[in-house]
Amino acid sequence: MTDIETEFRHFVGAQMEHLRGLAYLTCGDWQAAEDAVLTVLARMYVKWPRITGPVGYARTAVVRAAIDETRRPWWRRERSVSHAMPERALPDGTASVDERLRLRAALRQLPVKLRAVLVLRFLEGLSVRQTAETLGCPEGTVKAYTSRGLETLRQVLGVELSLDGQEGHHEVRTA
Amino acid sequence: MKYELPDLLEAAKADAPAPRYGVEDAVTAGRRLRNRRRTAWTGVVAAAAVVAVAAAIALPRLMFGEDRAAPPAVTPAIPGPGLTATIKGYDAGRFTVTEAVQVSPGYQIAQIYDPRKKRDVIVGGVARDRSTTLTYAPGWIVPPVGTVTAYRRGAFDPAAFTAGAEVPINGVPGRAVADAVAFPYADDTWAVVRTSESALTKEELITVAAGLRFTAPRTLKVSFRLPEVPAGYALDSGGTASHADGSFSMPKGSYLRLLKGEVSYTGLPDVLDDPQTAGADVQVIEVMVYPRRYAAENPSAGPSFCVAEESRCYRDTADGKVQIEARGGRGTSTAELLDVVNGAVPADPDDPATWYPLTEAVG
Repeated sequence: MTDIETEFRHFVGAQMEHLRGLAYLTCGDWQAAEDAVLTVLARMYVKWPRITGPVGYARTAVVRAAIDETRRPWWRRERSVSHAMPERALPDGTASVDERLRLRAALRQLPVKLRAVLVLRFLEGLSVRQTAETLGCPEGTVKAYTSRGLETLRQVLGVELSLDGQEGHHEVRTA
Repeated sequence: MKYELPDLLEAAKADAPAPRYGVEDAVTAGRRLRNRRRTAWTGVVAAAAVVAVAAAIALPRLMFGEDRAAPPAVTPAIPGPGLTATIKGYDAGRFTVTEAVQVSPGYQIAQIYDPRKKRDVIVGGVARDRSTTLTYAPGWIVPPVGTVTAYRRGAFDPAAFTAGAEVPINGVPGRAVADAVAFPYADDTWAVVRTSESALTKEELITVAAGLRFTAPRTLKVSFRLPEVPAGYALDSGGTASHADGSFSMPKGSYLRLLKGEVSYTGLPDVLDDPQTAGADVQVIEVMVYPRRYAAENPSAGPSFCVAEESRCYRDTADGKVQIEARGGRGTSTAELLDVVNGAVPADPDDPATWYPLTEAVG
């Protein structure tokens, strides 16, 4: 195995699971998320010697690829729905599972770019500027999407949302 | 009640299903993408839009050997000297294995075709980089569904197969992993049957492996020669496949790889499709010649043009029959590539009698 391939393998081994989760939260479908991650990693393999910041590069590319996954024509997206986010929370008898499903249902209410903004800002911890760069949109758009996304989540979940540790320490409370 | 949004986001992905892909899948996908991109620049899958259609077609006669008899058991290794080929064409189940189409100092490669394989229609389109737009006409090819690689003694390291399931190949213990079977056909002399896109099942890989046989050493012929090459470069490998890994062939095309520097063909985990990626301190020039129908439209006024950012140069022959393409790796100059395409001497792609022995194709 070459040094370059060894580096790449180490990177994939360390990051693949995290990238899969990032893609899933963005597109809402495990299978599409995995496809998006694999596509990005394949591209990174080709240009690996020229990538200077692979973690940031992968994050940007995976989020964009996951967004693209949601834009594919229906005949390209037709696949098993076993891993897809449910349309609505289903009672499970287990509080934590039910809560998770409820959150997923709430996330699903958001347009994909709003979801991506929330994930990048509040899971990845990116600033407004970094999120704007990642998504290739103006900072004002990121701020607007953040506000709209949080408001939608607050309404759907009916709870307060604390964003501790994030830029500006946002907090949204129930009305 | 108050929720931490980061915690909620973590929780939303907490019950992830078992991943379908792992590290090896990423590496494999990367290698395939790299090969497809190389092909795209030759014009074959320019638009990256490959659409399967229902019509099966006859394979080019050029790709096959003459003896189509049912294969016997594996015979003792006949690696042949130098850049000679010894894999004999055979049929295995519904699959057809060609004679060796690519030869290097460490191995020879044959291709597996499925006569029922739907042909791939290659939709024409454009490939752009920052400075150049190349346009390709529609066309089609029949891609192989796998390869058979017979390594020379000591050239292959089967470590990647040790975790695979043991499978008997004509009474010899081989190992099967997801998309390949490896087995020793002589002492420390290995062969690997590998499928592309999971086109062959494990059982079919074993059937193909069991059919491997050899014939007397022969020298491959290629459809062009290079009377002169840049200083320090020498012939490394070549054949009628369009990639060093033998994964693809354009009909009536040929390929030569020149190296400046030394590479080791010992203990390889796979075929050496990119010596620079494999860490060797060498410079690489790959040269391909293929019929004009697969070529990029020439965006320049002259016969030659280069896409410097991609380290590629092209030349159309005056008779319009073929295009010559030279691709460089790190450290190769555009001037060197231009010298190569301008100095190449193509044979008649339609007349194999005019083709050149591989071992005499350079210098």
